Parts: sequence; C-alpha cells; structure tokens
Amino acid sequence: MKKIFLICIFSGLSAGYLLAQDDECTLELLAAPATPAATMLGFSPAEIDKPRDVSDFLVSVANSGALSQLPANYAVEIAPAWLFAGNKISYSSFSGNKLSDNLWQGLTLSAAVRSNDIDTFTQMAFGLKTSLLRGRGFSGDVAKRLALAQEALRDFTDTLNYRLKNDERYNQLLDDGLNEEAEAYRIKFFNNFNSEKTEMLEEQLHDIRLTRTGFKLDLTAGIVQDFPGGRFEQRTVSRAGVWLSGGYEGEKGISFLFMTRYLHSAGYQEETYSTFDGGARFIYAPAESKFTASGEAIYRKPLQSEALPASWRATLNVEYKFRPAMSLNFSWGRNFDGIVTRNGNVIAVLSVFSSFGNKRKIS
Amino acid sequence: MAKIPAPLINQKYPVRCDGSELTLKVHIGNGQMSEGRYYVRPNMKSPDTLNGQIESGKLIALGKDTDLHGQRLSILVTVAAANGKDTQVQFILSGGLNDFNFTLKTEAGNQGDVVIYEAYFRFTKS
Repeated sequence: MKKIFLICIFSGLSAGYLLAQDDECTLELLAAPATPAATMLGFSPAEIDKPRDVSDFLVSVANSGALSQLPANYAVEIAPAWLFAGNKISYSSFSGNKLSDNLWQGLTLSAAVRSNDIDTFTQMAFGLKTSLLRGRGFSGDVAKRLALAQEALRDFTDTLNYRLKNDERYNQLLDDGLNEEAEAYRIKFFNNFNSEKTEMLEEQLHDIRLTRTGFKLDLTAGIVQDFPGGRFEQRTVSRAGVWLSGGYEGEKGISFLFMTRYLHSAGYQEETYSTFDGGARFIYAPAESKFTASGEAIYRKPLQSEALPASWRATLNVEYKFRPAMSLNFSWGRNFDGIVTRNGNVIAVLSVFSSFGNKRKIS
Repeated sequence: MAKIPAPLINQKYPVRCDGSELTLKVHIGNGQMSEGRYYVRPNMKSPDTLNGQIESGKLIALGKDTDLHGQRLSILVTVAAANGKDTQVQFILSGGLNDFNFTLKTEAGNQGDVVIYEAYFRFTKS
C-alpha cells in the first residue's frame, strides 16, 4: 500500500515537472529541499540555508540513492501569506524591508518525511521559518530597471485612461449595460493600443529577476518525530532545534552566510543532550550561470553531556540546474560523526521539484 | 508585451440617498507593480466630479451618496507582471445598500505583460 502511495506521489510530481518544463520559473524559489523540515532530517543539500523569498507552495523530492529507486525523502512547504492572503501583498510592502512585512511574507511552514524500507524506520519533521531582515532592497541594476518600468507603466496607464474616458462608443456600451459587447470592444481596443513608453516597459521587465542584496536574517525552528517500526503509536520526539541564519548577499552572486543553532536531541537509553552549532557558508552563484558552488563549515559543541566530544562538519557543494525546477547536487566532505560522506554515488542528490502557486523570479 | 484584459466589471451600485459616505478600497496583490486611476462623472461629456490615483489598500472617500447618485465611478488598474505571472485585484466599494467586495485574478502570459483591470459602477437609487 505504501509503495503504491509513493508511486502515485512520484508519478504526480514527475507529470507536474514534465508539464512545467517550459515554464519560465527559476530555481531560486524552488531551490532546496532547503526547507527547515528537510534540514532537520538531514537531507537538505546544505545545513546553512540561504535566506530567500518564498514560493506559495513547494513540494520537493530528494533521491540520494540509485536513481531507479523511488525517492524516500519528501518535503512540502507552504507560505501562508502568499497562498492565502496574496491579495493583500502590495508592491510597496513586498519591495520594502519592514519587519512586520518580512515576518508575515517570509513565513513558511514545512513538513518532511524520511523513510527507510529496510528497517521500516520513518521520521517526520515539522519546521517553521520567518524572515527578520531581507536585505536593503533590490540590487542597483534591478532597482533602476524597476523605476524605469514604473515610469513607463504610469505613462501607459494615463494614456489608456484618457483614451478609454473619451471613447464614445465604449462608454455608451457601458452605460447601456451591454457587457458582452463592451467586453468584445475593449479586447479589440487593447490590441490596437500602445503608449509612447510601451516598448520601454517591455524592455525593463523582460526576464527581470528581483534580486535582493544586503544583509538578510532568518529565524527557523523545527522538530523531528521518529516512528520506529513504522508504527504511529511508538512515535517519539527525537530532536528539536531553533536557529538563526543570515548573511550578506552581494551584487555579483557572492554570499557570505552564518548560522547559530541550538539543538536538543534524544540519545540512547532515554539520555538527552543539547548542542550548540555555529558555522559559516560561502556561496558563489553567478546570476546567469547554471552552476552554484558553496562550501560550509560548522562547529558543534555539546552543552551538557561531557561524554560527547565537540565535533565539526565541513562540506563542499556543487549544484547544476539542468532544467527549470530540477537540479543535480553533489556534496562531499566530513560529517559531524567523522565519516567522509558522499551521499550516495557520484551524483549525491538528484532532486525533482514541482511547485504550485506563483513562480517568481526572485532570490 | 501583451496587454491582457481581466474580466470586466460593469454594474449598478444601489445607494440609499440618505447622505451615507461612499468609500472605495482597492488591493493590488501578489507584490506586483501597478498603477491605478479612478474618476466619477455623470456622463461621458461631463467633466470629472472627482478623480485621482489608486494606491493599494488606501481608502478613498468618494463623497455622499446624495451627491453621487446618478453618476458613474470608473476604475482602471494596470498590473505589470514583474513578480511572477499571477495578478489579483480586490475591489471593495462600501456605503451603499450592500457592500461590493470582489477579487479578480488573472494570469499574465509572460513576465512583463500588463494585465488591465476595469470596474464601472453606476450609482442608482435603491
């Protein structure tokens, strides 16, 4: 039954992906599975996530093993503000950096599942993330283009308003309540309408990516539940954590990020321990390139248990975006337990992403 | 750049004619760039009795229903799809016999297209 369910999900996502291949969406919103829930379960490509704008609804699937197998790791993330109250998000509130707007518009809720068919061990995680700071605004070039586009749209609107106001036939149809005729008339009218700055508007907005720069800061929390033997009644909370991640994002695709995290984990034989993580990540992601390279290092210090030694993790990540909403991730490095990992084979993580809701070119 | 017409709103808006204040609020959502204009006129050849720009979420006082009765409110909102392709505009007209509260959603064909929303309300006596 479980297999059939997974096949249905995977088929649905694949079909969604195939249908979305020609879509213009970029990976910034679908990047990941860097949802807090996926990070808690350890199948996020990196521990230190880049603060980003959110997608209304995101489903991500990570396949770290043989590509012929069904993926065992899934994450879903929703952004309530965009999904349920998008009509109240104005351009000024979206483009600004006001704390209340950041908190609400940057809020995401996520859930992730990791299962292992061999010992029927299932883990489920829930995460919450919000944005405290999201940069000083759009990058210089983008801001300039948006200002020119706004000017062109103003001209377009004034000209259109004047022409509609003074179109006798159209106004007569409206006054007579002949809505079908008015609808047909306006479609023809718009087809023939142009303002002086229409071309400028098109030029400025074509292929624009709303890149924010400056200092960004996210607050994240998550919890993991284990289901040993795949039995619901045997569930236990195995980990919970809260962390701050942020950093500076520059104009040339270079980002410096940091992260501080408090984790509380359940160990063996009812023993619990807490750890403090501190780390940094460097990302190089040129705007027009499909490659992203990053390196991160995290130091973990146990807070109570003296039996546990301090540990560290360091990884190098390379991501290649080969399709819209699809990327190959390769991670190599040292994990906290001291084992050199390669998350599978040469290609460490192949993720298939599908997203519903609006797809925005922002990062 | 395509010009995408959103569905047209053109209807009567019954007022009580008891001196109630009519107000208009327009929410332009999805973080999209937009411009909005409104005007009120008794007929096409008359000068505007009222006009101005629309700012998303800002309440506009149109005046007393006794003054507005027999006139038409025209609203034009243009939304440039810069932040993805989804656009939506919510029109809230209050102070009449019933409030009018309706959200129109239209998807642009491509990023950079302009979606044109128009709403017309004829203030009639209830």
